[in-house]
Amino acid sequence: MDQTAIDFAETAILGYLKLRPTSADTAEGVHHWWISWEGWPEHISVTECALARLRAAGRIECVRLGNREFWRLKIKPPSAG
Amino acid sequence: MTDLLRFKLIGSSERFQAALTHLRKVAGVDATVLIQGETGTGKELAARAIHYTSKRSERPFLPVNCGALAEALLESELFGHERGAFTDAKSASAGLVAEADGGTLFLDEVDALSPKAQAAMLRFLQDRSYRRVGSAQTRHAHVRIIVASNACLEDLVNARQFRRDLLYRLNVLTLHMPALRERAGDVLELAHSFVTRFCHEYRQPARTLAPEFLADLANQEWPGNVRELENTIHRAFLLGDGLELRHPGLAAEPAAIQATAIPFKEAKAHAIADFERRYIGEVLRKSDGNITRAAQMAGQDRSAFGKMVRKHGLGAAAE
Repeated sequence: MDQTAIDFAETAILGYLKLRPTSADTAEGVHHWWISWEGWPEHISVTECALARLRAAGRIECVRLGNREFWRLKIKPPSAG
Repeated sequence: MTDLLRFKLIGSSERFQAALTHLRKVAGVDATVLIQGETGTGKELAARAIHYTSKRSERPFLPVNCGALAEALLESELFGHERGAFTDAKSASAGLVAEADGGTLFLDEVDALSPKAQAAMLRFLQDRSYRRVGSAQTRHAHVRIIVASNACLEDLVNARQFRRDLLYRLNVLTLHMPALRERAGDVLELAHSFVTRFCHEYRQPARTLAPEFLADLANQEWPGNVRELENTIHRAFLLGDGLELRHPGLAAEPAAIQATAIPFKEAKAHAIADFERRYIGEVLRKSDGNITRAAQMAGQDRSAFGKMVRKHGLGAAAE
């Protein structure tokens, strides 16, 4: 898979969430509305890969609700102290 | 706005443009929306476009297919539950309505809501209040509800399968997504855009659609609408090995084999139409799409030839 495209998607997702930290959507929504592709959009697998990498890095989380998976900024648990 | 819709809702036909104009109006006001349309017409796409061009765009957009959820779980998925509310409720869950707070909840196949879920949804639409399953506490969420159905909800109301009062609450604003067969010219526009997109996605050189394939696409009814068209183009793209995409089915089904299944007169008409399509497609290819030159090559009057080009939907290929 095109690593440059995945890097582009990762940066775009983080940039989107920095400006809109309360957003959430499915991978399809993220693919079409959170990322301003330069020209035609890439294959959705590029976005799915970027989302998986950001989740692994602890930046975002995937929540399963109903029959769909939603992606959003990782909500930090309130600190004990 | 036009730029936002550029890659998502494609089509220049009058019907589709009218739907997009209405969509923009609907996005500008914060009310419940009922989206109707056949399967594959882009109801979820439209719901998402409404959300992302509305003032709720920076909050969650949560789509859920009511028809794919178990009836027993639907209410709890929508409104959440307390720990121990039912056998599998090992921990409390906020539910979709709470998670979508401030944003948009899209309920596809809303006609699949059980009577109990319909009652809960009606209460929520009346004052945006709800109760988690197993809780007596009333909660509130500021959520815009967009629903969709490919069934006629009025018919379901008459058959007592859907609450009339809920229908009245849901269809404050309605948006009808037209079927592809009602969108004159959009089939070919969409087909070309899919090919361009697939070439980009698969890092392939530019490919085109063979004239007879275009004619075949233009003449079909597309009961599965845009989704079916996209799948057809995708299949042709993946299976085709030349720079010109052809319908795999056309080569595999000789006209004589097809003809035996229908009456002679109808088969003859199909054969003539098929010949016209192929002949016109070929001369258009040889004339680089120039209709005047193609008509001369065919020994036909330019006006009559032009009519045949349009009849077989080969106009886009010729321009």
